[in-house]
Amino acid sequence: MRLDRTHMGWMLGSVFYTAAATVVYVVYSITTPGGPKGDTWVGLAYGLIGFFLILFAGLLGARKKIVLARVGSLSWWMRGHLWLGMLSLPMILFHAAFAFGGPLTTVLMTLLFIIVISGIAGALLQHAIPGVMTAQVTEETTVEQIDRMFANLRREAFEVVWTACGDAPEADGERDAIKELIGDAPKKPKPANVIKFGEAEGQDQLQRFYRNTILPYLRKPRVIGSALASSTGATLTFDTVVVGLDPKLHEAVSCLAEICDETRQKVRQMHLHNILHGWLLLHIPLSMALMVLMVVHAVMALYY
Amino acid sequence: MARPYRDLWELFNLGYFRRRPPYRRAKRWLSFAAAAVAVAWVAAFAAMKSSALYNSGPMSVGHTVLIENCATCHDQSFRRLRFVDDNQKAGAMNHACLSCHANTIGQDPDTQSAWHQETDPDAPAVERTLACASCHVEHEGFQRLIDMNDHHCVQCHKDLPATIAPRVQGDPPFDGFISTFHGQSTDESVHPEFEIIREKRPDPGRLKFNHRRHLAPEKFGEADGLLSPDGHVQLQCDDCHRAGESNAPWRFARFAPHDDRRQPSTESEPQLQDRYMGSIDFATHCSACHPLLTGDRDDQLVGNDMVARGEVPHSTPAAIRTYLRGQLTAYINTTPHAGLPIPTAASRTPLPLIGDKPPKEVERLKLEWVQREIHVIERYLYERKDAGCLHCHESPPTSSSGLPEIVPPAIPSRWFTHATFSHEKHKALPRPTGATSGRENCISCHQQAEESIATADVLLPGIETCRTCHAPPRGSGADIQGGAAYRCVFCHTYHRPPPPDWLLGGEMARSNPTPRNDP
Repeated sequence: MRLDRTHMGWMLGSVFYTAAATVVYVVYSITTPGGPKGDTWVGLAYGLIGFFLILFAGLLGARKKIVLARVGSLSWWMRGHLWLGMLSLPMILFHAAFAFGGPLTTVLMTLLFIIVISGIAGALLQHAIPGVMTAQVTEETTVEQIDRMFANLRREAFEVVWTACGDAPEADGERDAIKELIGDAPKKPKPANVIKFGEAEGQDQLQRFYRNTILPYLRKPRVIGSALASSTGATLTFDTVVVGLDPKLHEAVSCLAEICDETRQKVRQMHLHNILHGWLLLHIPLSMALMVLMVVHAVMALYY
Repeated sequence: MARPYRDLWELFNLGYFRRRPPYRRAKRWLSFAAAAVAVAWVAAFAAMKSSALYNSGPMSVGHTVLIENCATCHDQSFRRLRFVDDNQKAGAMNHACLSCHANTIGQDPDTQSAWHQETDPDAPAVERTLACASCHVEHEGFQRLIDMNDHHCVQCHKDLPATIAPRVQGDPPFDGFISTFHGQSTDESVHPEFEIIREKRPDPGRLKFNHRRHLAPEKFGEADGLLSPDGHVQLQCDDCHRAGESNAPWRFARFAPHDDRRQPSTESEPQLQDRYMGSIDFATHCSACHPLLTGDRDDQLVGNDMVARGEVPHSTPAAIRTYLRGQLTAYINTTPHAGLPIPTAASRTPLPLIGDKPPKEVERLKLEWVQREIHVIERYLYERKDAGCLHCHESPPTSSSGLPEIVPPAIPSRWFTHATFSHEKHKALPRPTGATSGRENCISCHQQAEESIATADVLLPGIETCRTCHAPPRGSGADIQGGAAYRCVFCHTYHRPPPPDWLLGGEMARSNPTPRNDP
C-alpha cells in the first residue's frame, strides 16, 4: 500500500484527534488530585477508545477473509488500520498515564509498542519496496511460482547446453531432478538446431562450465558464494568463458547468461518479498496475543 | 540459437493456490501460538491462585506480602461500576485499609477516614469520606506509603480559601496558599514564618524569668557565675530544659528525686513526650537557689520530708496557709517557753503571755498568736515585690478569700501546636565551631536566649533557622548546606493518633472516638 494523497484525510484526522486527546489529558492530569490514573472515568474513556481502535485495526484480518463483503473497500480498511492503529498508542498511553504498571500491563504496553512500531515500519516498506521491485525485477512473477520458475530455468539451461553440445549434458541426475520438480523432463532439441559434438571448438569446455559453475548456482540460487550470484560476477564469468569458444557457441552462452540473470532476479524478488512481508510474522502474532491479553486486562482491571 | 520456447501453461503450476505458501502458513501458526501462549500465561496464574498478574504496579514496601492476593484490599468487585465518584470508589477500600491500620491511626467511625479535613458535619458520611488511597497511592513502586509527597497536601493547601472558605465564617484561620516549605517567606506560596513570631505575639508564659540573668551572670557583676548553695555556678540550658531520656542528675533539685524526672508534655499525646522539653518544675529546677524562706523562723517551722526548716512548701496559698497553721500550732503547743514573755525578732509576733489564765483563754491566745504569725509570714511571702512568691509569680489584687491568687505559669511545653518537633533528633546536630558545651549547641538555634530579659520574649527560632538545614542541598564540599527533609509531613502529621482505648480495638472504643482536632 502506497502512502499517497488518499491517506491525507486519515492522517489529518489522526493528528487532530491526537492533539485533542493531548489537550484533554493535560487538563485532566493537572486537575486530578493524585494525578491521572487508568481507573478514573477519563482514564477509562481513553482505555475504551484505545480498546476499540485496536479492535478496529484487528478487524482488517477478518475483512480480508471476506473479500466480497460490502463493508468498505479493502483499501479503506487498510488506511483505517494504519492510522487508527497508530492513534491507539497515544490513547493507551493516556489511559495508562505513561506508566507500564504491573506484569500484565507491562506486557500489553510492550506488545503495543512493538506492534505499532512494526506496523509503521511495514507501512513504510510497503510504500517503498514496490518501486524498488519494479526497478530491479523486470521479470517479476507470482511469488508462489518462483520455485517452479527456478526449475523451469534449470530445464531451459539443460536444453540449451544439449543443443549447443550435441549430447545431453553429463550432469549428475539433473534430468531426473528436473522431472521430479516440474513433472516434465528436458526435451530433446530439434536436430536442425543441434550443433553436433565436434562441430564447434569448445563444446567440452562449455559442458564443463555448465556442470561446474552454472548448474550448482541454478540448483541453489539463494546460496551466497557463487560468482553468478551477482550481475558483475556473472558478466565477468561469461565474458571469460566465451573467449575460448567457437563463435557458434556464443549464442548458447548468451542464453545461459540470460537464464542466470533471470534466476538472479527471482532471487532478488524473493528477498524483496521477504522484506515486504516478513515484518508481518511479528506484527500479526503479537497482535493476536495483544487482543487476548487486552480482553483479560479489561475484565480483571474492572473486577479489581 | 534462441532459448527454448514453452507455453505459459507449461511454465506455471496452475494449482498453486490450493496450497498456502510457507510464509502464510507461518503467519497463521505463529498467530495461533502467540494467542495460545497468552492464554496459557493467564491460565498458569489462575491455576496457582495468584492474582499477581493483575497488579497495576510494584507494591509498596509494607504491602509486598499481599502481592499474590489482590482481594485482601480489593475486596469489592467492580467498584468502578458501582461508584460514579472517584473518591467514593477509592473510599470504598478504606475499611480494608483500616482492618489492619485502625489501631495505629485515628479515624472517624462514620466516614472511616482520617480526621483532618474540615468537612461539613451535616453532609452524608459518604460525601465526607476521604479515601486513604487518595494520598497513600499504592502500586507506584517499592516505596513507603507514609513518605507522602507534598502535592497531596498542596492540592488543598495551595488555595485553602477556595477549598474550604465557604465553610469558614470570618477571617480564615489559616494561611491559604502554601505549596512549598523552602523559599522566601514573603512569597505567598512558601510556608510563612511561624505564627507566634510573625504576629509578634508574646510568650504566653506568666512566670517572670530572665534568661540573660541566669545564663550570663557576668553581665550582672557576677563573673564567677550565679551564687548557689554550693557556690558560684554557671547555668547550662539542660539544667532546666531536657527532652528525651537522660541519666544526668538535676543539679539544682531539692526535695525531688535527683534523676531525670519530667512531666508529660501533653496529656493527649503521651507518645510524643520524648520529643518535647519536659515541663519546668520548681522542686527540680529552682528550689536549690530560690528557697521559699519565711524570715528567721527555723525554730517555728521545723519542716518535714518535703519542706526544709524555716521554709514553706511550693504550693498554693491555701496549702501554704494550712502548712503554716500546722507548724505554728505545733510550735506554740510544744515550745517550753510558752507562757513566758520571750524576746522576739521585730518581724515576729510576740508569744502570748499565758500565765495562769484559764484553758479556754489559753487556747484563744494561742489561736490568736498563730493567726497573727500566719499573717506576718504571708505578708513576708506575698507582699514583697523583689522577693517571695512575687519574685517569679504574678498575682492579681487579693481576692475575696483573703489569699492571693497566683497566676499559673502557663509555660508552653509545645510551641508548634499544628506540627511536631523532636529536640531528641536535633541533639545529634554538630556543635558550632568552638562550642564547648551543649549550651552553645542550643544557642545555635535559640540565639535570643542569652539576651532575653523578659518573659514575653519568644525564644523560638524563626523558620529561616529551620530552612538552614531543611531545604534542598546547596553549595558543595565542606560548605554544603541543606539536604534535610522538608516535606510537609515531616512536621505536620495528617492523622491524629488514636486515644489509648483505641489500642484495645474494642467496640466500646470505636463508639467513643477522639474528638475532632486537627494536628
